[in-house]
Amino acid sequence: MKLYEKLLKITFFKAKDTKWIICVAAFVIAMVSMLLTSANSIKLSYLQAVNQTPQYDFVLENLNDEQKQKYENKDFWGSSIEDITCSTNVFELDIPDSLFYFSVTGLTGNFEEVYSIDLQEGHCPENEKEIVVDSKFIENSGGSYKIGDELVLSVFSVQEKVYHNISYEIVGIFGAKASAGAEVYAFCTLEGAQRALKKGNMDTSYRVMITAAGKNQEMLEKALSYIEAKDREQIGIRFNETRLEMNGEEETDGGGAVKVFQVLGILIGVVSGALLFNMLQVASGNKIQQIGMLRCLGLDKKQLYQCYLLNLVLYLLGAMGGGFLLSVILEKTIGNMLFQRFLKGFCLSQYVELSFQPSLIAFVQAGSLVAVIFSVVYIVLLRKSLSYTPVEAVGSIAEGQFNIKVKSKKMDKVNVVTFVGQRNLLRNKARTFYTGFTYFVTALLILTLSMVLFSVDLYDIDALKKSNLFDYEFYDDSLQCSLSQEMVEEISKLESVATVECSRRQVYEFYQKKENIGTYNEIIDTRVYGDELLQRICKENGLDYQGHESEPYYLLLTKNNTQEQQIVLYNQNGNELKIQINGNVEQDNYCDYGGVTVTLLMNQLGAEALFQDDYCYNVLYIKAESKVQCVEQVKAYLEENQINMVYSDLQEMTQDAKTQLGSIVCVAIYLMVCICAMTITNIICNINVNVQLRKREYGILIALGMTRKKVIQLIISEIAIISEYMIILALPLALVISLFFISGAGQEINVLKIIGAAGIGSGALYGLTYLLCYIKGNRVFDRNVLRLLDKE
Amino acid sequence: MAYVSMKNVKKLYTQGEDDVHALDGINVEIEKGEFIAILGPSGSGKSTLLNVLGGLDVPSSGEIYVDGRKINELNENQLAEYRRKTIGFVFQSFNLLPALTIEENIIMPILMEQKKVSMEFVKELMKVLEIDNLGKRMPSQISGGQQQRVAIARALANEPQMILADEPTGNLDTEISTKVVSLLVDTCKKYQKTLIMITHNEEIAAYADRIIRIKDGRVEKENCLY
Repeated sequence: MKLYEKLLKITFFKAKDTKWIICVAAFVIAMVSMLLTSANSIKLSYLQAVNQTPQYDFVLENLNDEQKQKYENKDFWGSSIEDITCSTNVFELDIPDSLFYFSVTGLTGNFEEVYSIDLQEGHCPENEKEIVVDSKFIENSGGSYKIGDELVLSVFSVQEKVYHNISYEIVGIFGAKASAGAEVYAFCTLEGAQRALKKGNMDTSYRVMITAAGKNQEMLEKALSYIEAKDREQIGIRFNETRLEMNGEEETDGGGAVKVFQVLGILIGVVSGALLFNMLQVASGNKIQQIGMLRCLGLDKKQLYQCYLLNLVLYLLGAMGGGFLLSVILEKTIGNMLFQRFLKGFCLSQYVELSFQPSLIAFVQAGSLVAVIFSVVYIVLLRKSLSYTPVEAVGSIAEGQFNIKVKSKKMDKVNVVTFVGQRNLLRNKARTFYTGFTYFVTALLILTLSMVLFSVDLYDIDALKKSNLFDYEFYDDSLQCSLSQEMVEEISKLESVATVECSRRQVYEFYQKKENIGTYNEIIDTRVYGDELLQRICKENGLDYQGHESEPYYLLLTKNNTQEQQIVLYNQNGNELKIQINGNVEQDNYCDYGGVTVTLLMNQLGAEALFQDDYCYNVLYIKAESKVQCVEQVKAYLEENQINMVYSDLQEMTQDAKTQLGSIVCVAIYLMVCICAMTITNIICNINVNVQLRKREYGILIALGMTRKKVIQLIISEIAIISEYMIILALPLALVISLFFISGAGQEINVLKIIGAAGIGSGALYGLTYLLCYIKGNRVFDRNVLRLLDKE
Repeated sequence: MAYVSMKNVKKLYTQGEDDVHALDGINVEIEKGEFIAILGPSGSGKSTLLNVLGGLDVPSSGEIYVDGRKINELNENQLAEYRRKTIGFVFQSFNLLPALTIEENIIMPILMEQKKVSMEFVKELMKVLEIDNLGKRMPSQISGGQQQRVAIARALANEPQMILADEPTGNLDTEISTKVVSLLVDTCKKYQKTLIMITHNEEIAAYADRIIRIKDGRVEKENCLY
């Protein structure tokens, strides 16, 4: 035991490189742990959301009243069904004298379980007059509502064109979900919902959510066979609805994020491996002589293996301990900040609230991965060190295995730095290869990320596509005002107004019927555009408006990829009106409003044909000659004519949208921070390999009369040559990978930007290398030359 | 004035709480072209003396003049120039650059001086030192004696005024040692270089024009074999 105590003292506790090895390994563990924690946090957040929602085995959707009554009856299904819950579709109830509204759902069953309501106060509704509301509403109302208060809401009757009030009693308040955004929710019983819908003469569709006893797939199939064939075509049926929905989102959203992390985790793992290899190569180089001397003293290989494997265990213990502390600090500070700032934007699901969840498992995974890489590299290098004879090791002849086939060039008038540098690189191929490989991997990552970050548009794409044709959009949310054609013409004559386009939104005179699914009146939205603007919209959607200016022209705006040739509208008398659709479009970048299912874009003639005498406007799109004056003049005109409209500044809205980052870019920024930290460490290790192992050589050069400045130039030139070549080699591959990411983000490929981004990345990497070489060189060669020669 | 003049040169090392007086008031004068052997027990300060004279270390106090130039007041770049132009150092452990061939090792000082390399002179040097057939080999491929001769050739390549040899035969056997020393001495005489050599070997010291014995950092005796 005493022998190993002494050996450990020499080889571990008193060795100069012990602290460095442990620190670097701990750092790598902490970085990988942070990465894994981020990936696991996304996955855990999704799993928590899935597990919180009730596990319905299947759901029937879009049922009308008659179907709902049939399928919510347990007797219909027989004994195979355990539980049935029923809910309405979401409908809106307005808060009078305000622009706000509730998204309301009526349901049977346990409210807290069905919709994961976090009831903070009170209780769930028990009769048709009770309602629970979102805590966001209570906050926004300035605390003017509390439990027990009456809440009067209004429902709009399409047929009567009036609002009807309906009152509820607030019996509970639930916590608003962050993922809900600005939307405000309320829940009531099924009867409570039907009370409101009846007042507004509205129909709704229903969902019936069924849990089967035993959750047996065969039994479910059998149960479904009860549903009549004709119903099955029209109603929506999904097995394992919640998990399917969650899984679906997990595949496209959370799952996608986790996969991105996993792929990049592999790259980080390679960089980590390279970093550890570099560091251990320095250590093993220092240890070759030590091992040789110990063997000369009589230690056999077995004893040396035992000694150095003990070293390995101590390294790993130190690294794990240090790594744990460092990972706790990193995760609490940078990790959490990066996650909140960038990765939250990756989540697109309203059901999921992403939260950074450090866990011991992620640390153990990271530690295990790094420990395996460390151990493999260490043992390989140890075996190599022990493969030399003691004399070779002591005499450092082991290091002198050079390729002698490089021919000497002419040796007169040669720059000594270039002379020595080239020979060092070409004749020590092993060292050059290892340094080059690690640099290649680092360059690949940095260049890829810089191309993604600097060449993509860091803006919300849709926001960018908005044109500057309008400065202001004047609108009336209450839908009560109307502007005649004459009024629009008068506004357009105002001095500060350049152009005016107008439209009429949320049209209640016409509606669509959806039979057999739940009859309800679908509000249609109309947008009336001038010819020039309509042509733009057509062009953006791959259509051509030219030649249609002299006839009614209709476009159907839809998000669900349908191609309709005709839509059928009904007026209040139930008369049918068939409208031929000239084209289907997916986007209208000139109107910020959205929210109804059916949107018709049309030209002036189309509006006249649709509305005939009853033609008026409630939206104005204004391009200003003078921005400040325009708002004042238009507002003055509207007030004078008792028209209550508000306006939004489109440029300000576009600017706000510009600050949003796409999800791919979010991940890229997050990873850039991690990879930059590892890159700096990797470059420092590369420099250490080339300086630490060869400081005696540099000492010789200084002793022979080379200035320290020239020695530093030599170090820089050697590493700079490697970095130049590796950057050039990594560029094509980085380009391919970044193009993959850029196209995945749905962005257009801009060659100039990519070239510029590659230049920035290369320049930054090269500059960083140069700087670190300079700093390291100055630190090392600040010492007495005798110490470099080991003469002290 | 002597070519080399050292006046009350001291060198103090601090190791923990202890002070080590490696040189404790050295006063030496050396003429141009002399061959000086420095003898003394281990730890007497011989290598330190050579190091401060060669500009590899800086004395704590005292003055060192070489060819009328005060060495201990030179800055780093001036010291580097001094080492390049004035000194040729032969180390005990050869200190050849492992990535360069023998020929390249020899011409290194010339390249550092950014002078045109006269291959004729280099080849002549190699012939004199009997290493003319080793030009394309690497240091790891030749013997210790050959390496030391290469080191000597390197020390002479830039035609310095003074050769400092720190136990050049310390790692060599007797037969080779004698040969190397005689080659070194003959070459220095041929090219009229001042040679200062540290040695333990009294027989080798006998070749010198003068012997300086050092003990405890001071000159004990001069020009005496006992």
